[in-house]
Amino acid sequence: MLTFLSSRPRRVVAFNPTGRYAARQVAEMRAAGTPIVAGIALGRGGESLDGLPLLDSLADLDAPVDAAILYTPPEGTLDAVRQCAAARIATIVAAAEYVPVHDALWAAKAAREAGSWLLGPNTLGLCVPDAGEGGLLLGSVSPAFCAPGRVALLGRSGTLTLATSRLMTRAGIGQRVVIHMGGDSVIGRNPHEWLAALADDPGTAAVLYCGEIGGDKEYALAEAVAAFPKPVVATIVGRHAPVDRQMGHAGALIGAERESAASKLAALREGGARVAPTPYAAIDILKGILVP
Amino acid sequence: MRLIEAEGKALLARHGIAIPRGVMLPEDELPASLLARDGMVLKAQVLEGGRGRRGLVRRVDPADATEARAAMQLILGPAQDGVAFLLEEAVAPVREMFLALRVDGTRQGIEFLFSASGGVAVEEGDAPVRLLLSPGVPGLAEQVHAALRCLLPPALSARVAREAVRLLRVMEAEDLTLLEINPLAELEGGRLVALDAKMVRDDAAAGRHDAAATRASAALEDILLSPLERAARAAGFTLVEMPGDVALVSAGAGLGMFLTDLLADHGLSGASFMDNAQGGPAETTEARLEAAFDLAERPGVRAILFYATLASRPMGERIETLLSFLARRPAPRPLYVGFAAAPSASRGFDAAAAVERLRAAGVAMLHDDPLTLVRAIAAGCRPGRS
Repeated sequence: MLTFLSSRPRRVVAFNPTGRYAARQVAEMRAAGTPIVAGIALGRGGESLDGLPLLDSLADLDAPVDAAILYTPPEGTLDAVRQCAAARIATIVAAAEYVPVHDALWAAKAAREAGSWLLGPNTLGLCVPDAGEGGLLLGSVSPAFCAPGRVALLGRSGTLTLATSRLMTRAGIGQRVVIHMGGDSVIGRNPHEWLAALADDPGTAAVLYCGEIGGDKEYALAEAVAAFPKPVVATIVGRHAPVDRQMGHAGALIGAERESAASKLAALREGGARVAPTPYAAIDILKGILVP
Repeated sequence: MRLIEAEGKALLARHGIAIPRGVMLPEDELPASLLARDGMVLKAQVLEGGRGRRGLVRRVDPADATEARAAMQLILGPAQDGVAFLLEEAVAPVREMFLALRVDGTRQGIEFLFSASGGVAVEEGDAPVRLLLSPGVPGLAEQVHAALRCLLPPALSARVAREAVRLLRVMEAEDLTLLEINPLAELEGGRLVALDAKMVRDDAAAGRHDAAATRASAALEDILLSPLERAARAAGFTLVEMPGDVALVSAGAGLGMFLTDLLADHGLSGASFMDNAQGGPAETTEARLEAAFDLAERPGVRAILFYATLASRPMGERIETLLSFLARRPAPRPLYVGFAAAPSASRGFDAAAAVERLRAAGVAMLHDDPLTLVRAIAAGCRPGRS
């Protein structure tokens, strides 16, 4: 069970919140009610950012926090994740893109060993739409694109996660949670782990997975679908991407047939998922599943 | 970035991994010690596999190296004029093996692959042994040895296991996502030598390493880009050109692929895919439009689709950029525009006025739903429609 679903974080800290992009996201989160208690900005301790106290170090906090959002640049992300893991922070969101792969391996390991859930690197974070018990925004998944509901959306691409949540909302399909897991080849937790963590969530009636070409995460997901007690709908973008060309994300490349959308969709179908060629078609399937 | 063999081997040598002695042609003079050798191997430094089958790896006498190189240049053709050549001492292995290490993103470790039959035989032999290694865990050599001892004599298995751990450290230190040695040769007396090397360096870590040490590899990667793709990289974004009929301007990998799929589902095809690039400026809209309009001027391209999702970036800025660009350079083909903007992105923005201004600037359609836009493009591109 995901801790941020069973109990909303009460104290959140933002690393490196003072850059232009980060400051805008921190302002959005605070406006959405995210309880950010401090920003960690080395050399800015004692100052404030729009009323948010800034500290030099996580060690300067007067009480533990249960979530951290990292706007730390790529070269510092591993260290920041290690600090958060050492502090046993339950949910860590690492926004930076272009974190070196070997750093990401160590970061994922540190978080995993501490029992933390790491989103990213290369993530827009997550949003739990407010269904009357308080929502949660950790990152940049706009709450305005979301609506409360019973479908957990798991996405590999940030822009596609945003676009799909918006299309779902427009189609009347609300979300239990919208999670951008991260677009890199190494991310804190893989899709099959997110799926397993949603199995016992009473608020999740179905899962929509939006993946992309490249890598092999969908094969582990396909194996996990069989044991998942709720419907899983899956779509993969990049059906018409050229082979051997990197399509943006590190790893979004069809280097072998197994990494193509067609092969992944076939594996997911074999595993028991309802597969769809596009998010639109996936939403149509969800409409059928969620009929009262 | 894929590394050519010579630069990969130089990297191995810096870490104490044994490689054959060699020189690059044509810049270097052949050392007397090499000239005295019985045999040499000339290898074209291209990134593609199957060099031996294509005649791009040949055993030569030093005196014949120039002639052999000319023959290889003919095979490569004029497009690869700048390819370098590696001339190495020939070695006589008593055994050729295959060893590879690759980052396994899903299992979050380094996958070790090994076959006791290396060289070209690896493709016809049994499936390689596979083992997941976790860097930092004690006893890695023992793990590898345990996996190999049914394939190799114990002493050799132990040597290969120790070599694998050395290579794992090289992989981390050099930010490689793939390190493949094929063949890994055992020489008379038991010494291990890497006779070939295939490596991929993580682009995200490029800043940690000396660019000069991989200059030839970078140049070869560069040759593979089209002029427009090269210009895009210089402007700070990624462009993938495709043989399509709709020039697509978007931001975000998943969104771009989603739009490409939608176009294909409607009988169209994307002529471009765009995404941000590492180290690029925060704003590249104008440069992206420039590239798309260049593509749209080509025969066969029938429309331009501009679509962006804006969670918090101000929509007004994006629209003003688009309008000022259109004032300077009218769209050469019908331009379809869409924004999925959150309220925070469109705060204080007069959407109705923007619609009028975009229409006046020649935008064929403005809509926030990608499918509606793609359907409109498909309708506009039907035979009989200009």
